[in-house]
Amino acid sequence: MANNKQKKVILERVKEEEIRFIRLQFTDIMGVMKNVAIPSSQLEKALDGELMFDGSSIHGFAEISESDMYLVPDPNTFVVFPWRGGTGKVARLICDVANPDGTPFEGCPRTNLKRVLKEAQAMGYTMQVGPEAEFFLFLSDENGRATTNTQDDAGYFDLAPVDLGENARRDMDMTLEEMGFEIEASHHEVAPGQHEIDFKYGDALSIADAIMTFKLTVRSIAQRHGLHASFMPKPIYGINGSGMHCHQSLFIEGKNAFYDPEGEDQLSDLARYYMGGILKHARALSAVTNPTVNSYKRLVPGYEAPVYLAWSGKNRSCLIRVPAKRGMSTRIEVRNPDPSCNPYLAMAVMLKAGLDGIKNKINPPVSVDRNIYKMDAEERKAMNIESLPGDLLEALHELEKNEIVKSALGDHIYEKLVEGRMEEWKEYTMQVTPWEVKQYLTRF
Amino acid sequence: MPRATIIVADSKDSSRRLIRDILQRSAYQVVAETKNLPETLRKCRTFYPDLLIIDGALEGGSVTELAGIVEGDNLARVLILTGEKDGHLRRDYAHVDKPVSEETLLSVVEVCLFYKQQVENMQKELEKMREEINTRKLVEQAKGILMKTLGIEENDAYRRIQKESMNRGLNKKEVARAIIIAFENEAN
Repeated sequence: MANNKQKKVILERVKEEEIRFIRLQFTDIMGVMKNVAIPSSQLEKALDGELMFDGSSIHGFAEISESDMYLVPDPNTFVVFPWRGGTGKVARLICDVANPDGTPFEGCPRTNLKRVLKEAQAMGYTMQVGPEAEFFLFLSDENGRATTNTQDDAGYFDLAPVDLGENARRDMDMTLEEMGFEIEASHHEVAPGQHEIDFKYGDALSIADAIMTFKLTVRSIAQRHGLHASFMPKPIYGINGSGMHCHQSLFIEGKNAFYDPEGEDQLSDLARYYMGGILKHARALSAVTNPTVNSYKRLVPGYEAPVYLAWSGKNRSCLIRVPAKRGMSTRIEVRNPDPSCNPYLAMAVMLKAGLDGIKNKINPPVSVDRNIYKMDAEERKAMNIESLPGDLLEALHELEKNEIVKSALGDHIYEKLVEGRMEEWKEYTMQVTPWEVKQYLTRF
Repeated sequence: MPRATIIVADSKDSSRRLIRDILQRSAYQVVAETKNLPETLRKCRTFYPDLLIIDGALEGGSVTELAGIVEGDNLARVLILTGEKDGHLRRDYAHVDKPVSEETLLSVVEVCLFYKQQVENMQKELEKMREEINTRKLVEQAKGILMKTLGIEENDAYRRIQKESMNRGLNKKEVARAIIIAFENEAN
């Protein structure tokens, strides 16, 4: 909770910048950002953690019987949105959710991540993460709704002298920088209309917060450009999907614990065990890092998305790539997460899997430097290379069997997550898709 | 003087064409016509026109929001053609009530373009003054710190900041900020 000094600083800022509304934000279990807007007159009360909301209306949160919950803002997350709408300036605070008696709510993904980070801290580690989120910029139609037409091909009909997507992305970069992001790279991606913005790595909690802020910012700015930004993993069949590769490492007392100048490939045993843990639990992890029906349509061979459980220093068909940089930058890149995941939960489960690898000294298999897409099933079997689940259902079944990954979620989140995703899966399987209609309507 | 550039945003084809024709006859350059809100944003960011004329009943989103973005991001000045239900728009933006005759439209457009330059100059002036006030605030605070910690007079404190600013090629605001940060760090 905010101490007096932090409170004073925030209240002064709000007065100085004539901020009229403050959004109190938190993320639900399904990874969707929720927010409660309060007028600035209520801010002091909110900073004291005295604001309540009805938790029963939030998917995967409380039952009706325990619906009153508190929002406890984290004063370090105070940011003024640099863009203005018709209603003046807006600021936000990211919150933890607490029970009516003030204890942390175990269904709050952010609180849960803190719990798992503490476990790592007890072992002496802090987790550092650098995400690379990809997204598409589509045109909004005459009703302001999203389409799957990319600006790139519309630009052709438009005869526009400028690339609207480029412009929008530049505006995003500048806005994010104003909000304190350190942008490391920002570029067009492989598919038409696809973009990527990378920002500087940091500790897992701030990065999970940053990912949520990032998505909100990218969407808001796109809207101001007449575009729609989508983080859907595979919006269009036949072209690359959007991933969110997560570079990660553990630090001990400010030093990178994955680096060992004497070790093989200059990697420490710790790094190997961490990778061993991730690879061992990868099939269950994917239920969290790739949590939607659509996620698994990205994880197919041929589109730079990983399918096979292996690691390599070079080739990108593996689940884990170890970038060539060493020293403080030594890290592993887990390539399957996509931006539809809940970043708080994704970090928690990946860290837990890595820690399990360390505790049990799980050695990863030897690295595979060949393109696995080009191996046949026999070869993969001979090399003992498993693959990620083929669909959400398979991933959920893997999760049900995996006590380690379950423990990283806690009972409440685990149960609500599986319940919600199963519902999604059932609904999906009952759909009659355009593909089916095209295939069968006239044939039978 | 180059011809003023204008975008006309109106979901109804007939009225949009009418406005375009009036403007073009008067030698304004209509760089784009748009039928909905997202398209209008895209065209404004492509052409950066001098003026955007929006019909109050434009489809595809909130006209208030659109006008706020276009003026807020300095893409263009906005003129709204308001209908009976657009009372809320009259408060914040240049507007003229429909139906509007050719003469009225042209004179309103002329007024909008005339004030555009003036508003832009004033905005620049305002920005400058804001900057000055901020600088003064920080310098005052830094002066106070120097006077207290070094036991010197106000004039000397100011001289020191000025000198440091010249020696280091930083403006006074930066120097003052550095003094304040250094002081706060020491206090902690």
